[in-house]
Amino acid sequence: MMRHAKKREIPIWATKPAFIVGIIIVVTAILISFFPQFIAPYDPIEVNSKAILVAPSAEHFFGTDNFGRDVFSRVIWAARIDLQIGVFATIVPLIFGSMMGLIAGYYGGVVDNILMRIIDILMTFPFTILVIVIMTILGQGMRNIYIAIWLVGWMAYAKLVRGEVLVLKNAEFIEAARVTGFSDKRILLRHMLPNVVSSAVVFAASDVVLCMLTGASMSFLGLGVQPPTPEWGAILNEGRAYIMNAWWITFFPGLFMAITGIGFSLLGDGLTDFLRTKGK
Amino acid sequence: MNKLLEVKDLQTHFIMKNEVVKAVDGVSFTIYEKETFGLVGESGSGKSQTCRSILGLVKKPGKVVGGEILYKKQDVVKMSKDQLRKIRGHEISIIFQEPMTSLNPVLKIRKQIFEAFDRTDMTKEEKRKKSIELLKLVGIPSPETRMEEYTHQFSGGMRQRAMIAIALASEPNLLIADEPTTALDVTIQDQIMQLLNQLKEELGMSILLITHDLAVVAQMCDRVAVMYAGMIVEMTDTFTLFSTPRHPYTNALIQSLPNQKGANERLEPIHGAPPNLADLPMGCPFHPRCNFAEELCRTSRPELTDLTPTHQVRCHFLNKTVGFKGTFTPDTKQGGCDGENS
Amino acid sequence: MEKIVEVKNLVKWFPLKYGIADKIMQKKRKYVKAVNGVSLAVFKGENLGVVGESGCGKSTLARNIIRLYEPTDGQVFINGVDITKMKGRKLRNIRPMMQMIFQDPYSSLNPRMTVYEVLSEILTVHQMVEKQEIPNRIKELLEMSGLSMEIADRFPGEFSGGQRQRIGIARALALEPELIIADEPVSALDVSIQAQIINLLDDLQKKLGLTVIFISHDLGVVRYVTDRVAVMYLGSVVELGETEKIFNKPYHPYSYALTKAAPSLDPTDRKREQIIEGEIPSPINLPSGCKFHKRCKWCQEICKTEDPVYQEIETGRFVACHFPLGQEERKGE
Repeated sequence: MMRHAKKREIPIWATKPAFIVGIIIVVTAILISFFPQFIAPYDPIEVNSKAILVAPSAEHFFGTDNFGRDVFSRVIWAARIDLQIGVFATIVPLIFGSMMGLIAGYYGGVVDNILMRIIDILMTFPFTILVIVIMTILGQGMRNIYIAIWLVGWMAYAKLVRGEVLVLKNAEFIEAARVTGFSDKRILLRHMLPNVVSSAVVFAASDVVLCMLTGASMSFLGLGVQPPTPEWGAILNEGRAYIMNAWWITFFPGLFMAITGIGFSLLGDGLTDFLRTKGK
Repeated sequence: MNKLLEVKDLQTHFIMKNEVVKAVDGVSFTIYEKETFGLVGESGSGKSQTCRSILGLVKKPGKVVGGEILYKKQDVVKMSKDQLRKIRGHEISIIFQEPMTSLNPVLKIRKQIFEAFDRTDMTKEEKRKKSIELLKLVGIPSPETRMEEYTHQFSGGMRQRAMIAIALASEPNLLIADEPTTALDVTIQDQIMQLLNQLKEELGMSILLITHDLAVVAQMCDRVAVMYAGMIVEMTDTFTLFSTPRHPYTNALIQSLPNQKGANERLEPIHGAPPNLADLPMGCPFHPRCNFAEELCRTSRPELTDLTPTHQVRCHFLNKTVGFKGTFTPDTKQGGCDGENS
Repeated sequence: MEKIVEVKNLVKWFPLKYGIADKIMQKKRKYVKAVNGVSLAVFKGENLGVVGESGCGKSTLARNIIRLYEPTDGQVFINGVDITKMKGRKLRNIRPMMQMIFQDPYSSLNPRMTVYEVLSEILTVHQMVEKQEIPNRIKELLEMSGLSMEIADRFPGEFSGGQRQRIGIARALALEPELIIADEPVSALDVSIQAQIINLLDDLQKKLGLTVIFISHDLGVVRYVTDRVAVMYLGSVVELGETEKIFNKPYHPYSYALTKAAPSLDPTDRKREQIIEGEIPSPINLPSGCKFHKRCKWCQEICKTEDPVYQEIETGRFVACHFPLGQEERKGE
């Protein structure tokens, strides 16, 4: 019971082991991406003709690839780019999409109608297909990956937030805010947004994974990061040819991708409980 | 009169991690055949949990931790799930406050009534006939066509009637009505109350009415128990309760109703708020809000004592509670006058 | 007496969803006809009740007066100013003088703002007091509503229904309004708490000289609280007059049915006869003639075809009925 406000209990998040695991993974991933130079023993793009396709050993934890580059160092350095893609590709749609959803839901009418029809049509296509189509139009490169994901990604947020706004719009405290004579801007940003944004944030946490994978897929398809820049998808792509006799090239970047993905998912799940209970 | 349901010292507690919420704390009452018994109280008084306990429907982490519920001398608490199911929906039926959520929206009304006949060996034609009869009984016009409709095609009052028809299909001996008119408008509430009164007479069943509305009690019940903080504080027949209430809480409830006051008289609200059931005050649970409380009330919990064989009150100072103003004076208005509002 | 609110022929229809398919089929556009031509005035300092069953349009009427909705037709005057079509800053500037108290104390407070934040935001945005005076003013508002400053830093989730309703009242008072619209302010509360809130509203009205429009379905509360009452049925006012007069001697058959259907607290006064049959018809397809004719015991031919005029049949007593009760000897029919 929430009546006893004074009694400090253990914070809710601390009671969820899955959430803690998620935090640990994500924080580790972020640390790795900030300081790869302290972890990676080798230069990730340094070619070593004396150690080509060496199996994992004490010298090369994850072995080496066909150019003799240290796979461990490449995977560590790649975290930086992949996380960057995951986070940047998510934040812009999160903000833009939430705003669009907020406005469409609150004002309704023609704008809302047109916007939602467009989203309905576009969302019938799979996310990755749409991104690939846009990439082929824009051409390859990191910048274009961002643009392509931004163009497609905001729609999910807009729809999500709009749905919440529609429910909240008729809540009496929003009516009260209007009766008080607050401006629409204030009502939207101070009264609506904090109450609808939590589900968008939760979605974003798992969306990071999707964006990372999309970025990796683009590199895998040769549309994204160009060699020799280390990126998990790109490393996978390069290792594909040697998968029969040098499994380590594809296995480790895949493993890292999976673990990071799980980390963000757990974080997202935990955030759901955390954000829902806060303040209520 | 024969006893139909006997609740003895019922205790239903919700056991949480760091507290125990005593939702029902030693409730005893008897429902006789062919009578309407009312449980009245505010939210959190334990009236709904009492009713859930009778049906074995207490939700986790709640549990009946003590007492007996004897239905026709069999203890419901000790029954197996199968035995309980035989009684529930057969001997005892229930109607809820909100028919929209307690009726199935994807089944036709006909199917929902037929479900009650599942355990009988009636033919389809017999079931049909019986359903039409039931719908007619509860006042649904042209039942032949309406039974082929879904609940969303029914208005609020009609839905409540349909739910009553379904509850009656198994010919229960006891109908539990949990706030049956609370969600309805006054004119519809009036219709449903009269319907229930009339059905009780015609079918000879007993009704356990759970409500927060004293006026509904006055209109429907033969006997009534007033609940506060999981306990019965006063129990007697309806006439006595409304003419000479003896518990300070009953009196305070009546006095806080605007119906009892002229336009210039001030309402007398009960000060404070209902107690936290996990942390009841020492002594009488009502003492912090009671105008008559003395030292004894703060330290010792009063027992439910017989004032007369048919009037029980839980109060230390019954000598102080004489002369409470009821809603009517018994001598001058005996016999019942139709229509006229006083 | 000075009119603070005047409503003239107010109409509010809500369009039903009208898709492309309906357009192709050339279906007629449908509306929920929530308010159908209501005219009334509210005088300064009085407490006007609006009573009726769910779906009678009482809440919609209130939300049109306070301009949460824009009326479909008709006019709303506040202190003589036409606010019917007012928008934007102009509307925002007039809002402080009329405030609302809501029904559901659980949804009427922002779950993510403390009591202090709620009140200080209002005081700041409208510059009600000097900045350094804000804490004092909040203390004053809370105490006026029967609360203390200790609770200011808590979130709404920590309060009971009665306390929340008090916070809602403090919020409404923060802008020092002249008019308060109370939309079922005590319906969601327990009986013992109801009386506290009714007394509080009563005290505040007297102390601050407020005008109140009190919307409720509870006739007992309305009878006790209000000076005059408007009885609504299917979006129209069918009778309006002094509360005691209407309760003692209703002229409109619906007012009669409503007052008689309210259950009495006297167990010896149990009704045997059906007061009123049937239920409120759908506000989408309104009945022809008098909207009440299908449920009226005294219905005549003319009632089925002709909508009765809403007129003043005694000083201050308005009725919309072809054959008002007690006007001629026709009760036995």
